[in-house]
Amino acid sequence: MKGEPIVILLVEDDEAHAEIVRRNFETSHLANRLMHVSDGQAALDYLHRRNGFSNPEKSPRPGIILLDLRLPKVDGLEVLKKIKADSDFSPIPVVILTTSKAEEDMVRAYDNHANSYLVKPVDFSQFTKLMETFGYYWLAWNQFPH
Amino acid sequence: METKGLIKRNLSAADSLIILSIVVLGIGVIALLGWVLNLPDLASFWTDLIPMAPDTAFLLIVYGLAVCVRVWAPLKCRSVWVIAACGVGAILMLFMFVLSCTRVYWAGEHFWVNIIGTVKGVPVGHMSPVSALCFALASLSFVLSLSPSAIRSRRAVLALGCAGLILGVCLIFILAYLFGTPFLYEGKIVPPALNTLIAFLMLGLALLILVWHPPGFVRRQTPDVSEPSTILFLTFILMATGIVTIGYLSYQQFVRNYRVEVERQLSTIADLKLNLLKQWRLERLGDGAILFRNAAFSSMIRRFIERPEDAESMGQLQGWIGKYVEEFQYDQVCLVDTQGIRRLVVPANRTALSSALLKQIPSAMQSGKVSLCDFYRNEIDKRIYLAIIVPILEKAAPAPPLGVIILQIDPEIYLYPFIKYWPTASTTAETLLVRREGSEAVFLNNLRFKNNTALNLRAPLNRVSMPAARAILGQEGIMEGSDYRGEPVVAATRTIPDSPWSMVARMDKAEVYAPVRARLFQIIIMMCVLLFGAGACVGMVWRRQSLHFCREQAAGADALKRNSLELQNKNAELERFLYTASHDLKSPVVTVRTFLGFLEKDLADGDAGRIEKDLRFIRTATEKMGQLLDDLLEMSRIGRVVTPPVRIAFREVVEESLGAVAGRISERGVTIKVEDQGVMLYGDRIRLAEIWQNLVENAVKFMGDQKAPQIHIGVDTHNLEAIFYVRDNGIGIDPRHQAKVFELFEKLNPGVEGTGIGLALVKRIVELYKGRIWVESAGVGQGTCFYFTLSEAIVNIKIGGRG
Repeated sequence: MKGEPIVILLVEDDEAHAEIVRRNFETSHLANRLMHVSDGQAALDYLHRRNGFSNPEKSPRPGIILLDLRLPKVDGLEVLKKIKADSDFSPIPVVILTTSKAEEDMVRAYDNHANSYLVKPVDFSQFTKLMETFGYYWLAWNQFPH
Repeated sequence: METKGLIKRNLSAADSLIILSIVVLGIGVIALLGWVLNLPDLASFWTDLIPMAPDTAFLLIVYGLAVCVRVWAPLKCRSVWVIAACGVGAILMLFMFVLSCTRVYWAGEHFWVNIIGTVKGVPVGHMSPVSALCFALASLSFVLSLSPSAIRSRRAVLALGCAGLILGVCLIFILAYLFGTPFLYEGKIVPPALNTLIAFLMLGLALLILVWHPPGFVRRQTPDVSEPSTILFLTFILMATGIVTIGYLSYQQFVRNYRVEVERQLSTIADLKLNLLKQWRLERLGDGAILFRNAAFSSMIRRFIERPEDAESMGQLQGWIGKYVEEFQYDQVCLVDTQGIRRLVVPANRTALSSALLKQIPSAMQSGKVSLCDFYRNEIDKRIYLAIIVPILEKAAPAPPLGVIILQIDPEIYLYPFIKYWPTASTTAETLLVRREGSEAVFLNNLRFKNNTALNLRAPLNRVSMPAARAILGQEGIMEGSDYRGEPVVAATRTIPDSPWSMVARMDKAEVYAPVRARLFQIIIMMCVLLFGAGACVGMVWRRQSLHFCREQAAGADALKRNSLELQNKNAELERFLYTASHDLKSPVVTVRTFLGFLEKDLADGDAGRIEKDLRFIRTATEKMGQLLDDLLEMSRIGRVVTPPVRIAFREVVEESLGAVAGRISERGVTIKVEDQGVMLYGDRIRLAEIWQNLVENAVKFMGDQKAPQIHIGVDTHNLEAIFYVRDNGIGIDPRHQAKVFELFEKLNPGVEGTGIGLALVKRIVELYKGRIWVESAGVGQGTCFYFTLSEAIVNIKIGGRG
C-alpha cells in the first residue's frame, strides 16, 4: 500500500448496519479508515467541510464512498447526483450499499454515475464475504491516481 | 385515430366535389355534342322544352373543370392568373346578362353551328340571363373561396351567399319546371333550360362544399358525428319531399279550382251572348212578320205599285215604313218589286242595294216566308249589312207576290257593339262570330287584335286547333287551342240555333293563367323559404347534436382523465408504499441475521461486552419490525374500518388524544395550551383523535433541548374555514425538508425513535375528511406549526372567532 491510507466514507442511517460494516472492516483492519455519517445532508457537509466537519484532520477527504439509498433529510440518490455533478468529488468512486434490489433503484443509481451497486445480503457470512471482497477489490486491487 | 378520421372526412368532401363537378361537366359535354353532331335532343334533354345554349354548355364544362382542378391541385389555384380569369369571367357574364335581358342576340353564341328555330316563341341557342347571372355568381363564389383564410371570414360568408343564391334561383326555376309551368316561357326573355338548371344546382352545391371544406386545408374538426347527421339528412329529405308535395298539391288544387271558375265564367258569358243573339234574330224576324201577310199593308203596297203617282198612298206607305227605321234603327227599309227594282226607300238617298242581297230576293219571294239575309258586303259602299226580306203576299194565296220589303240592318249600330261587349274587365277577351263557307270559316265581326276582319278573314276548317273551326264543326263547350293570331287561348264555343252562326267566347291563356302564375310564384317562394327554413332547423339541430356530442365526449374524457389521474396517484402511492415497506422491513431482517452471526462468533469467543451489544442490536431491530408491522396495519385500516360517525366537540377530541400521550408530555415537561372556538366535529372519534395524538407526539419528539417546551393547539375560523393547528417551539424543520415530512417511512432525524409512519397516518386521516395538511416552520430551532383542515368533519363554525 502506498502513501496515505484511503479513507472510506460510510453514509448509513441504520446504526445496526453501520455497526455491521465497521465490524467487518475491523476484521480486515480497515476500521480506522472508516468515517460514518448517518444522513445525506451530513454526507454533503462532510465533503464540503462545513457544519462541524470543518477540521480536515477529523474529516479527511474520502477515497471511496459507501452510500445507502434511503437516507433522512437528503436522499441517497440526491447525494450521489451532487457528488457526481461536482468536479471536485466526481472522481471519488461511489459504491451503493443498500437493501433494495429494485430494478429502478439500480437504473437510477447507474444513471447518476454510481461506480458500483451492492445489495446488503441477508445472510451473515455473505455480508462478511462481501465486505471482505469489497476491501480487496477497492483498497488493494483498484488503482487510484495520485 | 383522430387524424385518420380527419383524412376520411376530407376525402369524402373531395369525393363529392369530384362527383358534382363531373356531373356538371357531363351535362355540358352532352349538350355541346348535341349541337355539334346535330342531335338537338341531347341539348334539350329529350323534352320539348328549350335546349341548353351551346355557349352555356361550353361554360359549364369550363366551370366543372375548374372545380376538378381546385380539388386536385388546390394550391396552384391561388395564383393571380386564376383570380384574374375568375374576375374577367364574372364581368363577361354580367355583360351577357345585360345583353340577354335586352334581347340582343349575338351569333357567336352558336359557335358557328347553324341553329335556327324557336321554342314557344323564344329563339333557341341563346344564353338565358338567368344562366349568365348564375355564371357570374359562380365565378365570384369560386374566387372568394380560394382565400386560405376563408373560414370565418367575410369572404366565406360572401362566397356562401353567392352559392346559396345560385341554389335558390335554380330551385325556384326547377320547381316551376316540376310543376309543369316553367317560368319565362311565353315571355320575351330566354328561359333557362332544365338541364342547365340541374347543372347549376350541382355547381352551387360544389361551391358550397368548396367553402365548407376547402381542399388542401387540414382543419381541426369536431369528432366524427356522421351517424346523427345521416338521420338528420334523411329527416331533411323527408321534410323537403313533404314540403314539395304539399306545395305541388296545393298548386294543383288552386289550378283546378281556378280553371273551373274560368270555365264557368266563360260559359256564362257565352250562354248570355247566345241567348241575346237568338233573341235579336227572333226580334228582327218578328219585325218582318208584322208586315208579312198583313192585308192592310199589302193592299197599300198594291195601290202604290199600281199607281205610283198617287201621292197619298205613297205618303201612307212612307209613314208606315218610316216607323220601322225610327223605332228599330234599320239602316234602310225599301220596297223592291218583282223585277228587282227598288220602288221606295226610307230614308231617301240611301245607297243602292247590294247584288248579294238582290240575288236572294227571288228565292225569298218563292219561299213565301220572312227570311234573313246573312252578313254581306255591299259592293257600292263596301259596308257590311244584314237584311230581313219580307215577301208581300195578298190574301189570294197562290197569286205571285207583289214584291219584297227589305229591312236592311247595319251591324255597326247594334250588333257589333253588342258582340264586342265583355261583361268583365279583361285585356284579351272577345267574342267571335263565324259561319261556314265551303271548307272555310269566315269571321263575321271585326276583331280586337286584327283590323278589318269581318267577312275578310277566313280560316280552313281543318285547322282544328282553332276554336272557331271546331265551333263550326259543331263542338260546344270549353276548349283550349290557338286563335287567329296563333296565341294559345281558352274558349267557350256555341252554335246559334236556326242560323249559320257559331260563336266563340275566348280569352288568352296568358291572361287566364296570370293569377295562376302569380300563385305559382308565391307557392314556390314559400316553398323555398320553407326548404331553407327546414334546412336551417336541421342544420341547427345537427350543430347542437354535434356540440352536445363534443361536450359529452370532452366531459367523458375529462372524467376519465380525472379518474385515471386519481388511479395513477393511488397506484404511485401503493408502489411507493410497497417499495418503502419492503425496504424498511428488510433492513431489520438484515440486522437480525447478521448480528446473529456475530453473536455466534462472540459466544464462541466468550466476549461478554460484544454479546450484550449484539443482543441489543437484535432486540432493537425486532422491536422496530414489530412497530413497523403495527403501524402498517393501522395505516391500512384508515378508510377501511369504519366506526359509526358521531358528533363530538373539538375540545373533547383534543382532550382524548392528549390523554393518550400524557405520559410523554409530562416526561418532557411540555406545557399544553388549547384554544377552543366551540367547533363541533362529526366523524370517526378514534381516527379524529389520532390526528392530534400523532401531531402532539411528533411535537414532543422534536422538542430538542428546549428549556420551556410548549405546544399550542387551536382552531382558526378565519374566512369561514376552520384551520386547525398544532404549534410547538421545538427544533423546527429546515424548509428544504418540509415537503418530505408527510411521506411514509420518512424520518428527518435518524436518531429519533419511530417508524416514520405517524405523519403519513395523519395525512391520510385528514385526506379522508377531504382536508389538507401542511407544515410551517421558519427553520431549524424556530419551532414548527402543523395546519390542517377537515372540511367534511365540520358541523359548525362560530363566526367572528379568532382572526
